[in-house]
Amino acid sequence: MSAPLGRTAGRTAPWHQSNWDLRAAGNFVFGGAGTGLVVFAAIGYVFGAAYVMPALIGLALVGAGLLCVWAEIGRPLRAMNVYRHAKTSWMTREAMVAPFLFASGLAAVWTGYQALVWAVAVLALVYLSCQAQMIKASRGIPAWRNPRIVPLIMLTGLCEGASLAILVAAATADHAYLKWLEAFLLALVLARGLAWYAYRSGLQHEGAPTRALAALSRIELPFAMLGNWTPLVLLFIALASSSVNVIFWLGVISALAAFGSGWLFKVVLITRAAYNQGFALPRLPVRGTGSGGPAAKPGWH
Amino acid sequence: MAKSVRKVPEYCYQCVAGPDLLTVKVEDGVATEIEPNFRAAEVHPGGGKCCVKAYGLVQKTYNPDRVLQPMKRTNPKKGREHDPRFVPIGWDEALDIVSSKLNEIRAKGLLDQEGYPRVAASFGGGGVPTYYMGTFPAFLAAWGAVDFSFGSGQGVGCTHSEHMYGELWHRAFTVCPDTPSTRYVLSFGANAEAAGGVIGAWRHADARVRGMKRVQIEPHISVTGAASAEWIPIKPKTDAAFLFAMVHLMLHEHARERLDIPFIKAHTGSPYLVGPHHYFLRDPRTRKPLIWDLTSDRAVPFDQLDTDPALEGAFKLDALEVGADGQEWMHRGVAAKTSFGMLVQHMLPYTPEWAESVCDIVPGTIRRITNEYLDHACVGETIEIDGEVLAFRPVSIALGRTVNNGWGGYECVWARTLIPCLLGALEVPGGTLGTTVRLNRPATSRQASVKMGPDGFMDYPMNPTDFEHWQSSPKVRNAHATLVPLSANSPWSQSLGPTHFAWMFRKQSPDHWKKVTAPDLWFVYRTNPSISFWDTAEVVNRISEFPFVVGFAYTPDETNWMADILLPECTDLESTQLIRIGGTKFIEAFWDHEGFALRQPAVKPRGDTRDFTDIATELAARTGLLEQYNDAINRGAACTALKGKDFDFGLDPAVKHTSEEIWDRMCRAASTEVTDGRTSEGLAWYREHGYRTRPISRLVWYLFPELRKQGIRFEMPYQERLLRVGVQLGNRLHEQGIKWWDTQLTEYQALPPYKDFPGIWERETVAQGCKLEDYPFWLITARSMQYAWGSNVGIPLIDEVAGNLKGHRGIVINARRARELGIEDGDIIEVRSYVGKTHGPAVLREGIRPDTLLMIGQFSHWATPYAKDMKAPSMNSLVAMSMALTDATGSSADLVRVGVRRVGAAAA
Amino acid sequence: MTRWAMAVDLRRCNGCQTCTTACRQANATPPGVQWRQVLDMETGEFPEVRRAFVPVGCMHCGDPPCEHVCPTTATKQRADGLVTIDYDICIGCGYCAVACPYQARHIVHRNTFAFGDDRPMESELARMDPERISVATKCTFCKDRIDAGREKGLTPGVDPEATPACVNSCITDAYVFGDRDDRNSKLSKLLEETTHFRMHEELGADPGIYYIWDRKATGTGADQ
Repeated sequence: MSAPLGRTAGRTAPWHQSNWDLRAAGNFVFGGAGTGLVVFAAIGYVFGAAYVMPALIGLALVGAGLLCVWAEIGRPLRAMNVYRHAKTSWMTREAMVAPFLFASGLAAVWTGYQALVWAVAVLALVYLSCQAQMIKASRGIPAWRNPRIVPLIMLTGLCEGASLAILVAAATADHAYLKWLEAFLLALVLARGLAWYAYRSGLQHEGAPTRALAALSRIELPFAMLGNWTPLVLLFIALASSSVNVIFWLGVISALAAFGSGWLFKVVLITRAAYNQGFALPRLPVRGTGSGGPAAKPGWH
Repeated sequence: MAKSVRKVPEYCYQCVAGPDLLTVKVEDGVATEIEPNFRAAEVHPGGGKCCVKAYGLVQKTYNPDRVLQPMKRTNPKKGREHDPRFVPIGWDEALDIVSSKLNEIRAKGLLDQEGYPRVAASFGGGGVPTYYMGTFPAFLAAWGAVDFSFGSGQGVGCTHSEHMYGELWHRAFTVCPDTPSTRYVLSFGANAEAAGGVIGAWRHADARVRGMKRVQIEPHISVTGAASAEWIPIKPKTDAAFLFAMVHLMLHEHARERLDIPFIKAHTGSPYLVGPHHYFLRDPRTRKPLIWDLTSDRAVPFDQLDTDPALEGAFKLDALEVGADGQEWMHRGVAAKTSFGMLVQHMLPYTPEWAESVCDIVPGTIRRITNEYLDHACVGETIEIDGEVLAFRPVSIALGRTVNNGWGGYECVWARTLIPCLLGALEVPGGTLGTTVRLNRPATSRQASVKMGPDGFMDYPMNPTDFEHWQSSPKVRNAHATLVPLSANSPWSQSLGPTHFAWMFRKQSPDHWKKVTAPDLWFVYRTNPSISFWDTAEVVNRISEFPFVVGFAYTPDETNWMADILLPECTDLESTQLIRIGGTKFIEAFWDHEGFALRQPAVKPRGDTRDFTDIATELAARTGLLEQYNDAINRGAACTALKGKDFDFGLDPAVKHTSEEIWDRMCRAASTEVTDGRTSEGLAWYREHGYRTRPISRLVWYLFPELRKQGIRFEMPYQERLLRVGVQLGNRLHEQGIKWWDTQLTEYQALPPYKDFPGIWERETVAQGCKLEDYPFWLITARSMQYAWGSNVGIPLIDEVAGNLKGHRGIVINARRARELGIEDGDIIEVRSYVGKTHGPAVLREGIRPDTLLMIGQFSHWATPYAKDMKAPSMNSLVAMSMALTDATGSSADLVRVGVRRVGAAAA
Repeated sequence: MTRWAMAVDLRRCNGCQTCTTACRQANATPPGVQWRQVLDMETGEFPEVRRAFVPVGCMHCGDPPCEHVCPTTATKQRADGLVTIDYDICIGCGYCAVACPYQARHIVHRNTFAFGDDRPMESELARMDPERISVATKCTFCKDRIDAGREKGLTPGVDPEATPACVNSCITDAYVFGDRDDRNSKLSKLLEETTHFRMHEELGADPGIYYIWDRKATGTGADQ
């Protein structure tokens, strides 16, 4: 039998990384949403909303994300080795925060102590920022290493968290502070929308693989339009309304759109827009005589 | 950790650019790695390295699809659709079957009713298999008449016209620049970076860094074009137009002083006077060609001393003109021009403006290139080599396949030889050199093959065309001695005849020609004509008609699919053989040493395979030829003679000797030769050291000193001898009523005019009933270093790394042209000619002419394991074996007009 | 200090893939895994086309992005500049692979064999290494040869036994290997005499492969 040669041999233009798939995306999808939810569980706690449900769901999501990672690594039985490089590795740091996050989270859920609740929220934010930094440190993927990915990842995590908090509140009929959550979400989708444009213009400016830019353009509609600007308008209307139904339904729809688009964005970022650097030559060589040739950077915008 | 690690020295001769040297790392008896023979860097002009092909030898050795024991066919039907249903048998039974067949044949007589040898044998190109078949050549020599006519592409698709005309004009079986010192190379499709071997690649890299400029002129930017200073996309098969335009410019737009006038006058046939019947004017008494001596203002024989020959002018004289078949004219007061004068006139129409309309290159470029060539020529300069002062002319011209074979090959090789002659740049340092001889003898020394012939030019073993001696009844099926006088009569001559004729005439005999019979027995080894020749579907049909085929097999393949017996040999790293290395040899193998190298069993042979030498010995014994076989070995039929002036390691002719014994004696003879008798170490020494050499003089690289010493001129520009040969050959053929070689006879011209070479292929396409606009593309092929010479088609490692280079396994097409046709990169396209069709993924590139398609290498396998699943396209099933497309030397070219259409989207 | 580095003379390279193959064999990498690879790069538009061949692989960077992100310290940078992977510690998370701007890292999750997974060859079985499954692997600059060679007093880049297989195999003499920090090494001298660049230099990883593309500029700006 003959190996299918395919078109992957001798690639010079950027191609999509194949090491991190949906399982790795899952880490950021669930981890981002989960930590965001834990933060908003704490905020809700201040407003007198129930803490246990959103906090537990948030922690469960973070746990699911970590399970995804564990399912992806080549040597899962050696997983504990992940702790050996806190000095520079954001993956180590993320792993280090996790046990503290879970321990304090469960303690906060069990005891209800305010200080613990805030500590958990802080740890959740730290965890979320580790995730964002982890992506940024991936110098081999132009769409990931742009510094503007950090605020974008963090903001989408918080958006998703706020959205899930709205959905939990809606589901558990904990409507008292629904409007507050919607206000937070409005601010966050606005910030996330701006962060998105800042990120994309950053990529245009620095240069990025053509196909990576194309993959991101393809989610302009579902992410920016339907996931940010539509909820922005709907939330505005909801906040301006006094109708319980309007507040409820527009809140729920916005929440679904905001967190769904956030997950879409992260899946696309990891599995569709993650074109690598490719290869480039600033000059072509002189072959005996002449001046060689100009630069070659196939597949780049 | 391996317990035992050995590094075993070997040679690699998988292609004619070698042999090169290497070592195999063997860990606990398993071959794991190929490496260069680092010590050999002292003598090997390529740093002791071996190329990518050699690294496939580990997978070749352990290929699970190898035939590991003799096989017998049980399906009496033969053909692509008939599985042979081979069953394993023992060696005794296998050798019995083969030798009974041979004995049967011998009893009937070695020649059949048509006078053709009953036994035929086909081996792969360039003599490569000879160095893997042990002493089998000695068995064939002992046997007697063998027909080597059934080719697999050698002699036809190779650098054919260059072989013949090159040997005629400067003992150049192949031609090469003097790369280490040249400064300017015009390369018309010569793919040195793919086909030049290790030494070629090494030398050209050094040359580039040194500042040598190579201009690559070819329809697509090959790996050689990539590594050149400039790429010029010439229209296929129009190279002669560019070359003719260059000659025109040198003669009509540049001052005569730019040429090497003293050289032209003294060392070429340029001053020879030409008569009204186009033959030389001769002194009636001595019959020597005449020149016009300006000093005494009269005609004198060419070899008269102290003359100043006229190069141009019109003269009146009394002289004898000798034509063909003894026809003569005695002229009084005849008007005559010099050969050079005729050349000048002949080249007048070939302006760069004319050339542009033919080859699609702007006149400015042709003028600039010619200027650069002249500027680099250093006419008048000298250099000292080993104490001798020689002309230094660092300019050269290389021609590739499809340029130097097929119609137009003669014109290209003529112009390419003429241009250096105008500048004194032929066979001198820096210039254009021949590499070795295979038609002239001895094969071991070009210098020794130089002998004074008629008219002050080199002698040449032309096959006779006079009435008494012409071989009217061909002795072998490709009729080389009958049809191609230039093919000479050396052991290589059969393979240099029209080796497609044997296949063609089996299907349909031409008029007034004796029937081409099938051989009673056909040996085939290390060659695969069902893949590597043309009209491959028909080749399979012809092979299927052969009654008895013995395939020395490595794996099943498309040719031994029709075999009756498969005999599995020990492959490259499992058997013993010695080869000559060094001196000067094909492609770019120019050494400062010469000697011998060994290949030896690095690992135990797999399965029940046998060393080819032992197989040969067994066959000899079983056919009653043991004595003749051993005698042949003693005389040097396998590598080198065992008996010489001062040594005798000869085998006892009456005894069966083992491979080890035979090669031990060969090694002793080799050691004796290399050390001038000081030592005669045998196999054990070579097993440890791998090779043995002695230094040689670099003067061996250059032939001009030998010509000068013997007072011989280069037979340039006027081909009077060829003119006569052509007329005589025509007379002989017409006496037999044969007219189907008449077009070919038109190539025998003293000063060749340019002909519309692409038009020949176009007219043939139309003659086959096609509309040219349905076949708008020129399909060409190019060498792949990774796959060249076919050994690696079934090797996954090679397939994998070859995939890093664009074009492998696909069809290269100009990107813009492809998009006009709605074809995207990777789309499956069908390419069809009037012969057949093939398909594969489109590879869109900028570096190819919009009117040209490229298929790299030779594939489309259907039986060879691994290769058959690659589904790589090949042009061979699209190219015809055709009389119309065959030139006078019996070659054709890898070229055909094709149509293209998209048949599917890119595979996911 | 020692900094092992490599120069590749792009003027010489002709794309033959001999080094790609030698590396595959010397390091017994599985099918499809090319630690050293020679690329075929075409630029321009017909008829102004150029084509270059570019050997690539791990650059053994001075500031290796892979080393920063590795969570287990399996990827380390030695004092002599070699970036190494300790297969026993690696968890195969692939973080180094996405951090590397040279696409130099490979992770395979099962043993495969050239002629089919059910038909391993003796030569493959002899070199099979289960330790290299599901972990990151890459060019090591043939560190084992360097280390063993140095122990014997040999010089990497000079003595073939102590030199990377790709360098040894090159048929155009395009590679030079040596100590970048030694001003007298063949490598350093060659870099003095030529014009060169490194790939993706703007990303700041301080890669250890120098690509030569011209002789030293004469300052006249004139073509030869």
